[in-house]
Amino acid sequence: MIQIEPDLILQAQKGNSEAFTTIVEAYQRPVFNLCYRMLGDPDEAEDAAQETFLRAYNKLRGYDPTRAFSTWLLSIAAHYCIDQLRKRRLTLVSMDAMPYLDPPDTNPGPEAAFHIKEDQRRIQVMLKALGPQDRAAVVLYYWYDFSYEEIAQQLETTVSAVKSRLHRARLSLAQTWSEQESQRLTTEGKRHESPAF
Amino acid sequence: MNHQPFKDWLLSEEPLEAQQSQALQQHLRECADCRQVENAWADASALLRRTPYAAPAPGFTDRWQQRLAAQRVQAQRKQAWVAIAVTAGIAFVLIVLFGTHVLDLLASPASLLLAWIARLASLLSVYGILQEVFSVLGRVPPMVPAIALFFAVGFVCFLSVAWLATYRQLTTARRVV
Repeated sequence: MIQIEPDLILQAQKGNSEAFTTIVEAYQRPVFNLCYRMLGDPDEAEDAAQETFLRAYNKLRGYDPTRAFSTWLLSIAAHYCIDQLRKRRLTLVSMDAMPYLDPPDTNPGPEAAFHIKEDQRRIQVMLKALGPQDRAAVVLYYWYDFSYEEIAQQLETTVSAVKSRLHRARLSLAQTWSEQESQRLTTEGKRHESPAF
Repeated sequence: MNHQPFKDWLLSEEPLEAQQSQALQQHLRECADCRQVENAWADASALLRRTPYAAPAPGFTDRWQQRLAAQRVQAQRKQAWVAIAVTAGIAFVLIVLFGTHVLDLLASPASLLLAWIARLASLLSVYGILQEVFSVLGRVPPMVPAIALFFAVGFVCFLSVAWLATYRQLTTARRVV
């Protein structure tokens, strides 16, 4: 995770908007990635990431410097995304829309590009099968290497609850993976069947 | 057969004891269902671990600055509307209070005229008293030196200018960097 100079945060807290712009520049990818993994749509993720930085800017005076800035910022993003997921419920999200990837592959071949797209699609299908809190726990654990304690702090719950959520989420992810594999094998089987005359 | 402890061990990322590990391997050799969970989770977790960060489209920071500027404009508009609403409320209360007073006076014009004459007479008497007080002060030697009066007036002027500058600073829209 990116770490920035404490002095920069101090300057931003004093109202220096250029200092906060530097913070936005530094954390845009981690924040956007969290929002994208949570919401599954690049446009919604962009909106959520922008809103996260606005909220952080407005709450910056209340930031406790003894806490890691990245943890504080990602906590704002996670809570915002959980709220959005609870609000939307039945809104359908397109799985074809793709964000940029970090590090961006400058010139992937057609086969590599297909695999990247396929991986992204599968990840989003798997994450979509999880509830908002479980999804947040998985994203923070696998993308940000947060400990159980850090996730518990972020999601305002206990360590045992986080372990339980992750256990349930892993089982759900494995099941969704198996279902996708069966579907893929069925589709490929049909594609390779001889046409009926 | 009870699969629960084996599934728990499969999905736990914490290291198992040697005995647990042995029991799990033994169970996996016999149970196709748990073997499928193991394989599926191995593939799924590998995908989770190899998937890179998704990044926003270029120009994210510029878009954020525009959004911040828009939010500030909106906040200022909201503040202006609140100020207008408060002023309108105060004006309404004053109109109601003053209106009832005027209506009472219009009901009897003679008493209105008498009231105005009484006010004029009181103002004239206040003027007379002030004139007398200043004439007495002019005759006695000054208790406060002229230089102190000069500084006092200067300080009041400075406070007025500072107040005006602060008011202007707070009410003028800031330029977003």
